[in-house]
Amino acid sequence: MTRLPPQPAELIDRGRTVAFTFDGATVTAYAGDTIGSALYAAGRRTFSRSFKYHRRRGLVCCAGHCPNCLVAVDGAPGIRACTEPARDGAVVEHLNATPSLDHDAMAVIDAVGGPLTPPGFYYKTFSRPRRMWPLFEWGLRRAAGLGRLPEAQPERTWRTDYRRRHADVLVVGGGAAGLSAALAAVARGDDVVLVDDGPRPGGRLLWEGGHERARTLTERALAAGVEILSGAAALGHFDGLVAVWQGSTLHQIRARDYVYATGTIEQPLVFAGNDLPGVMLSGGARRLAGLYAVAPGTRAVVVTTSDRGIEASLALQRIGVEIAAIADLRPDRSLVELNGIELLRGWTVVAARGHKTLTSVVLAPLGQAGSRAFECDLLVVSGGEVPATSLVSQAGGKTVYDERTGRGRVVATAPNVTVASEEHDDGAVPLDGDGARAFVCLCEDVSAKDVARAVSEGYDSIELCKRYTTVTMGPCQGRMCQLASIRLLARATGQSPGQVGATTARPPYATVPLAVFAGRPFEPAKRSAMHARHRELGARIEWAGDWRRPYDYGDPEGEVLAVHDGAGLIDVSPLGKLLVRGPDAGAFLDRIYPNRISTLPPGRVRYGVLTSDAGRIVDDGTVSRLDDDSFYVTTTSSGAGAVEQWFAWWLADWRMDVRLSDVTQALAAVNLAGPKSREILARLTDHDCSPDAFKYLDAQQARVAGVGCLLLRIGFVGELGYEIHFPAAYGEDLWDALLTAGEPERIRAVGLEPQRVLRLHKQHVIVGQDTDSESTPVGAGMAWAVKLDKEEEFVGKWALERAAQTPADTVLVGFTIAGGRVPTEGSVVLDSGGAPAGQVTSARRSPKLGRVIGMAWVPAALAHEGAAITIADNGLAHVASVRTEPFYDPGGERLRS
Amino acid sequence: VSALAFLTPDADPALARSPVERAARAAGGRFERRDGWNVAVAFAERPVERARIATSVAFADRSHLRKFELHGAFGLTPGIAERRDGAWLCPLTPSRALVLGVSKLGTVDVTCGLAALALIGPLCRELLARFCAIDVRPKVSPVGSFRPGSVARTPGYVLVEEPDRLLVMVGWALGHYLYEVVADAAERLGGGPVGTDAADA
Repeated sequence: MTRLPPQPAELIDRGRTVAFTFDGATVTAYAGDTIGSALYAAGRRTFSRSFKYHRRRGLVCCAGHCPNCLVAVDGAPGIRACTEPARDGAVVEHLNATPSLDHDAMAVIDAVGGPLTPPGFYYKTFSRPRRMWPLFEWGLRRAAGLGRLPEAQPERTWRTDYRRRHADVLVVGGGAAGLSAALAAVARGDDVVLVDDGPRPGGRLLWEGGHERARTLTERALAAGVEILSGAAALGHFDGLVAVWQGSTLHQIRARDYVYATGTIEQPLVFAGNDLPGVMLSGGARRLAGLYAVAPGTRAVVVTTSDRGIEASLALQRIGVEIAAIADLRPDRSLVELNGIELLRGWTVVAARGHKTLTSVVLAPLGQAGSRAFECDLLVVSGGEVPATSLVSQAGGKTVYDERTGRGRVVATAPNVTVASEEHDDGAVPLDGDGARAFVCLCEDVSAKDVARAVSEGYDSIELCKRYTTVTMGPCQGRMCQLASIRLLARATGQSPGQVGATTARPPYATVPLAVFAGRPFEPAKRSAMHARHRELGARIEWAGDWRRPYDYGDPEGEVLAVHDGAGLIDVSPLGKLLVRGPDAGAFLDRIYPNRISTLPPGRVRYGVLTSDAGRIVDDGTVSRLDDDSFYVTTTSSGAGAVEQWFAWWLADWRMDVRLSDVTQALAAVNLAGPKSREILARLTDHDCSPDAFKYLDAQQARVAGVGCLLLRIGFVGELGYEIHFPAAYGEDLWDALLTAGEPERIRAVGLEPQRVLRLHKQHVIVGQDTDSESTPVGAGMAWAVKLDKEEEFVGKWALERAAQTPADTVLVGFTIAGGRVPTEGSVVLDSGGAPAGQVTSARRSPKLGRVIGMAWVPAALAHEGAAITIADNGLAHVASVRTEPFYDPGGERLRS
Repeated sequence: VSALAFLTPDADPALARSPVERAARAAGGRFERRDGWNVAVAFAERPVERARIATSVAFADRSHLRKFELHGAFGLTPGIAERRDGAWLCPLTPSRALVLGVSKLGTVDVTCGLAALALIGPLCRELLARFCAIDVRPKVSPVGSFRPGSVARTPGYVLVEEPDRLLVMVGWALGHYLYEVVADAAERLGGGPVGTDAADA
């Protein structure tokens, strides 16, 4: 055990223990421990195997920055042990090692695989023979990676709540600067939210002796009304919001002003063996000791470019770690000894040695010969600090490289973005080592040699080098490697680091499970007022646009026959429904529709097809005149919203005295259809439903089962029928009343699929299925719905005149196939030469007619009764016969009966 | 008969039902006929519902609230609803308004066009924030604020009726969906449904 006596700022609760398993072995931790601190305290030094070479990796940053402690927790891979709280019962497993973390067979790659795995090796080494690539790919995917996801998951196991928060000021970062900025803002009367990814606010104050100040600042902020979100990582600054992940909640925070107090990121140094377990950043060592009371080592060497390393040395010495030496890259310091510690000025580290963990370090003077080796089990490095500017950059800020300090500096921000940070003393710019085992990028196993090689192969810009070597593309997202890669690229290309530039900072800034973005498992689904009844009747419910609709009730053929032979009841509530009212309503509709609407008498219904300016069909439906100034327009189910917008758009342009109301969801609608429908309806109303009083294409109001309704005598499905529109609140009651009244006639509920068959009998077009964006009413056989002799201008008139004058290449017709299979919708119609010339839009087997029927766009020359067409369908050829008349009741007697 | 009479839910004896009735019934709602509507009057004992309203957040079905659409210029400020003749007059556009409540002003009855839930209690804003990005902080949206926008990823409206009471409306056909979303979010906050009796008390 390496647990220290109680530390002043420790987060652990020594009175409470938790137990989890790591690779099957039980680990006991204190409440407040992270998985990483608990494992380290238990003696574990190897936490993972590296991405490519399967090298041992240990704790480095203890801040959730580097990839070295990635584990799987309860099956979820990619969790950083150093920040993940230890939980009772958690099952923690290593990643990327077979058969075990300590004996990884794939580590052979580190010993012999180097020549086979240079940068971009998958384009080079494994490119021949080409046919073997699938095998290579399989092997590579298994050899590399950051864990595996289950291949199948029957149901969601992760729940994320979205929480939207508006604020005057959002402060990102809970260190001294962030807390101070929050206090200043709240003092001005602002509504302030502060987010911090640490377990509690305070930042480095917590482990660098300022925990009392951190506590005071936090208490003041809370008392002043600042909302503090701890353990909350800012994922990215998007247009107008910052996404913040906190446990099972994704906050979307929109603020007037943003303060980024994201502090700095301590940088590692590049030297041979810099990835050995036992090499740790000064901040990592101090966090481990200060927050979790775990000694990071027993004998340490410290290498630093700034005072941070010196401070870390003294802090570690205080807790009993022997400091063998300090190598300070700054040559101009006067001290040679510090508190009994040897201080080597102008020295750096050239190698870390050891097999499983660090055993010794080699230090050497800068620019001079000679070196000294020190035995130790801990190498504390501090390669300077870079401001964490990714979020500022995403918010529109600009960062440049400062040649004097050797790090990036924010030089411009968006108007509502402020950067709050503390000043640091200038340190030395590190001298990077080289070689195949001097790693720049711990995430992707990219070495200094790899960067140099990429440049020699022509990948000499930072963006190209990034894509070729994958440096900065791993889980750390450049936190630990961006600066070093810039320096190395500069060295290899002869440029200055400022000229090299930096890669783009993209969200997410913190590693986050994709499940976090999935939100809660609710899908906006429109349900008709009769939805529950459909389910009770055993309907198969399917999506139809944004509605959930009954596809059928288990017997689509029987449902078709019921409508033809008796009666059926179809829920058509999703139809679009618009009220168009006002003195200019008739004139407006005359301009919108290609046929005449203003001549429609009150109480009558007319079919209307809507076209675009280019004369292409965009929707269709009916128009009923309710009184002189009021029209009731129905549209297709999927087109309701678009038609409402289309109407409103033209109204805004034409400035006519018309008022538009969308009542699509206010009204339920059913289609009572079939030869027995009149008798059934008559049982529920006092209204005169006789053929003379209620004619085909009449629109009349009546009370049906006590409910005020608008009844339209129309017939999409080819039989006598009534479309009944009524307040949605009565959906279930009226549905029940109609089914009950129709019991003597064996009325049946009829679904969407039987309805499609029924309308096909009549060759009634479904816009969007039988038409596409190029279809005109002329080509679709609906020239009768266009009145080119209309005096008024109307939308698409010019284009429709052109279409009427120019013979169409293809025409929409019906077809029938005697026996045989139903061709797939979308299959190809061939011309006489066997070339594709059209396509099938609808096809079904009709239980009423006993044969296959359908609709298809065919060459105009074949668009005549009885013409033979050939349909190519997945290798099969169907010979079909063209029908230009409806397959059923071509004269429409049944509709009008 | 008015040309638009078929829009008005005034049937007898048929019972008008809210789109959330099934969900409310599954949640233990007790129903009574009120003004022709089948209304969830309670879900728990009155003290329990009162406590829910007082300490966390409750939600109540208000879909039966009469709603009318009105066209014309009414001198309303965008985003600000006004009480007139006992009803809320909510501006949709400069020339179109939504009237909530029994009123002589309305011409087009859209009672069944919008499902409505009242969110009541100190955490009502927190509950709304779980499914809606509309800013209803008191300093931004005081009582009377009317905010059209995306509600649970669908077009909807939010009216600040009282300091701790929001009325949320979406299309009638999405009422069941809204109820599921709200109930799920409320549960996480320690809230739940209440009947109209407690909501109106």
